Amino acid sequence: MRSLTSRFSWRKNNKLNNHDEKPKLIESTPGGLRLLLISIGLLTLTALPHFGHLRIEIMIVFLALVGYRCLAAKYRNLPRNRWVIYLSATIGFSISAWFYGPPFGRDPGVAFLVVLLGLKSLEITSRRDVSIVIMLGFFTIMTQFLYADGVSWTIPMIILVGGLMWLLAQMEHAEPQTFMLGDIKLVGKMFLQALPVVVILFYLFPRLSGSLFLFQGDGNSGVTGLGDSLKMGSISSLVESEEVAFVASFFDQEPPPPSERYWRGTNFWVTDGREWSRGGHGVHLISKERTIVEKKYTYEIELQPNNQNWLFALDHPGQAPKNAWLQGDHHIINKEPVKSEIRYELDAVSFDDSEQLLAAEERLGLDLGKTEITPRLQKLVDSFTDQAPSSIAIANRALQYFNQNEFVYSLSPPLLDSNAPVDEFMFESQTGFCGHYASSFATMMRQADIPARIVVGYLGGDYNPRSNQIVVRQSHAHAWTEIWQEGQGWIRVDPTAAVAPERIESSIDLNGSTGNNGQVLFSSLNLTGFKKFITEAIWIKDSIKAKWNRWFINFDRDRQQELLRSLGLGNLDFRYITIFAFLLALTIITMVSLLIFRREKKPLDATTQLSLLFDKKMMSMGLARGKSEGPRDFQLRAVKAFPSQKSELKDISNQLIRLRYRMQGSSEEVSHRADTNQLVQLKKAIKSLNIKP
Amino acid sequence: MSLFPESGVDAPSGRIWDWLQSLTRTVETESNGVRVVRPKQVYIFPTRYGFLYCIMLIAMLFGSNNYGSNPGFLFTFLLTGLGLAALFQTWKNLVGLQLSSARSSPVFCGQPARFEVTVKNVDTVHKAGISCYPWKNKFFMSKAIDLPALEEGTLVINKPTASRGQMLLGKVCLTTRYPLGLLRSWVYIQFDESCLVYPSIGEVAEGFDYAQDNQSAKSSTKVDGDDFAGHKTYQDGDNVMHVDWKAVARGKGWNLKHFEDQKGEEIWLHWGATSGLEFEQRISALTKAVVQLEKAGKSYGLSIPGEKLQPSSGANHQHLCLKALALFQA
Repeated sequence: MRSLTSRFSWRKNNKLNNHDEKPKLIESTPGGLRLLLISIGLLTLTALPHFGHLRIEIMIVFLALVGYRCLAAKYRNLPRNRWVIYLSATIGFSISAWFYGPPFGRDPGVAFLVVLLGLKSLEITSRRDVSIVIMLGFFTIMTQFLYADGVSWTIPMIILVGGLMWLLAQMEHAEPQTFMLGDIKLVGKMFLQALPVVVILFYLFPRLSGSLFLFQGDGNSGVTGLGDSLKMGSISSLVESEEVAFVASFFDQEPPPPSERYWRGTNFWVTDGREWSRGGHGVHLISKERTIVEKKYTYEIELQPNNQNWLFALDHPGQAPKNAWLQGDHHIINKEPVKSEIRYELDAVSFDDSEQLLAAEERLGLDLGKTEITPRLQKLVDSFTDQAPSSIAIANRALQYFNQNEFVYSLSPPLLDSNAPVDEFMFESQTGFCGHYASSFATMMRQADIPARIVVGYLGGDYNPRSNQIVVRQSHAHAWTEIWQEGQGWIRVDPTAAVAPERIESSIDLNGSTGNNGQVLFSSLNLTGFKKFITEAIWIKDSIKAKWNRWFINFDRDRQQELLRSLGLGNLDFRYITIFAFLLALTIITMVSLLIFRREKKPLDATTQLSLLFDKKMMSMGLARGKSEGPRDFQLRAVKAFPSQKSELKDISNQLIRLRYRMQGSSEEVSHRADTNQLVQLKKAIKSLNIKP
Repeated sequence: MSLFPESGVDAPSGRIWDWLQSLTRTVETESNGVRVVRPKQVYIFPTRYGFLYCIMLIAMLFGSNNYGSNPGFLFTFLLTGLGLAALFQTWKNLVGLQLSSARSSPVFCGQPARFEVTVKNVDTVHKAGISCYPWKNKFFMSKAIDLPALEEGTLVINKPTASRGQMLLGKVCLTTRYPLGLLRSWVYIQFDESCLVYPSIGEVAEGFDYAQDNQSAKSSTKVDGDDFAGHKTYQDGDNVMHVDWKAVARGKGWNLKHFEDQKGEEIWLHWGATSGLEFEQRISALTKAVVQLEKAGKSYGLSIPGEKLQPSSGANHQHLCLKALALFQA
């Protein structure tokens, strides 16, 4: 009996001697305090971006918890027992539940996670506790990407992952402080090793559509774009924004010339004299059968969210993309408002002249509603229609009128506050931008019994030859008109062109100065010197950004499908998923077996490695060492062959000989540090040998 | 078989397990006495954290898919890639290590045997967090060591001792979780070195029946003198041969039988003197006597069947006596 108990009792003692059973307080271990503070710092960084979406109360709870842990590391008598932890858990989770409810769904889940991360940081006692908190840290970083603004955090967060991996490695050391740099190198190496896996999985891992759970993301708000009505003056605020509306890629095709870059958004049919709008759904749902004469362009658009349910297209879209419908007036209606970036492919085509004017089009296209037509406006319209042979002739007279009178294109026109804004614009202010010209022109055409409509969208775009893309910004917003000409159909008339033809050929240069009286200067395409360099730089930046968007941000199921087809891997269907899983398993098995069954090489010692390196170097100089040639003979031969490098060669081979043939266990072998340094020096010397025969 | 050292559960035994264990790869001693960890011999398996990491990755994959988040996918796959890199690095952390033979010094039975093994990192990259334990005894996990490039360190392996004699170190499990702690790799190493285990020090079972007659009491004391003169309280360092075992057995505490004639400089420890005890207890009693006599600076001789050591003293003499007792077979 006694013998048994005594054995157990020393077992117990042994337990205490070993580090496993009773974990040491991390800050009491050598270098532990620094590790603890670095861990808490990095963990705080993982939660930091959530300041943007979580309630400030949650972040305060988090910071208080990690802050208390830091203080406890400095003031060791601060209580950190289980009661403190229970209390903080109760308070923390109550606050999270108070503001967010139970932790289901994204925001409540993230709030819960951040509080949990804080609590787990507070709980850190041993090094092993840090490992578990780092796992939570990874998860917290992940939740960042469930938000729309998470994309911009991608690169900082990848660096943070490196930091956390470094911490994990540090935790596994007996003496972490001597390996701080070594572990950074190791993590770098692991990132390089991970890279091919990341690329392959990112592009080839089957992307399943739709959500696999029921809870879904919350929508985003606060987007800019064209409104669904046009009041005189409303577009001017857009024109001042450099924000990208969409990017059109033309792949290997020539892009359309600037004068053809009319990107239709929607058509405004209904007016009350001041405001133009789309009108009821009736007009838009009409579709027409048209015969396509020519397919002019095929392009792809990456549309930024604009909260409208129309898609932009170069005139005239041949067909609608998926989940959208092409309307009779050539505008495309999307199934739902565009709340996140979408991508679609379109053809631009031209139709034949056989278009028929529908009764509804005629009715709406002539309806002026409550528009007040003043006598002088009526007189002006009459002068246009007088003995005119066609609608086009009337329109041309109107355009001439704009052109020959003192009309000014300006982004800051005077306010039109009378009851008849068209009249006021035509005869008094005569200053405005596209919206003014388009709505006055359309009003006059309707008054002249010509069906007319306003088209809103974008005109132009910055062509980037590097990526063969046109970047369309909010500053390219434009409004123009279309009128009905019997025998030709709806034809585009841009009255702004009559006043400021430069607006059509080039875009407004916001960086350049605005002329006197708010007149806009248009940027010219003939750039020289520094300006050209800047433009070039912007092109490169944009093309990189376009590639980034194309291959990272917008890489989705459709694009994966394209990629798979181009790689000859077939469709993204069940068969592909099976094949992918099979290939993945095969790759892993192959990798593992390569590791296990690769031909066993006796590990070479450092001296042999260096000798081989030296031989290889000499071989590249054309001097091969004989199979049974000793190092002395080889040295003699080498020196003879390259007398110019005599001293270096002699030095290196002498060192190699000394390393190889020194006495085992002699005093030379005792100092390993010196050994390592010598080896490293020698390796450098061999590598830097540069012999010209 | 402890294929999964992480579990911490000692291996079940049985014919099937033994057969399976015979299939495992073991690092053998090479002709030059060095043991080199070969790539094929390294086992690897996720730790608890590794499994947690996997579960987390799956959750992340679902999350990324649900929210159609490409950075989410990238991040998930990055962690996957790093996990695979860790698989390689954890395996590599053991490959190529060179282990010397195990050195040890004798211990008394019941104390752990302490083996020292020099581990050499012949790689130009550092290795770290390496520890080991005697096979089936994860409980005795050694302190971890770090090995900078081309340097060496010493691992101390403790192994429990249960009986006297030569104790083989046998199979040892060398293991690491470096760099990420998500995976544990390990190798089995066969050590043929053994440690001499002295008998345990005088642990005498309770309630044993001491010899029925005075003669045996006498025989136990014949080395010193004949005249029993009374009792004296036992103190550390006193000759256990003089303990009144009968009294101890009756629960009267540890007392010494005091004899008049204690002038003899040379004390003989005779096997026959312990005849009333069980075999192992006789050895223990003699062991304790040796230790105490040595401590007291007395000159003593040992006489057991087949071995007779002339009275002497000193560490070496003690070692010889204890070794003789340790290796004594009935």
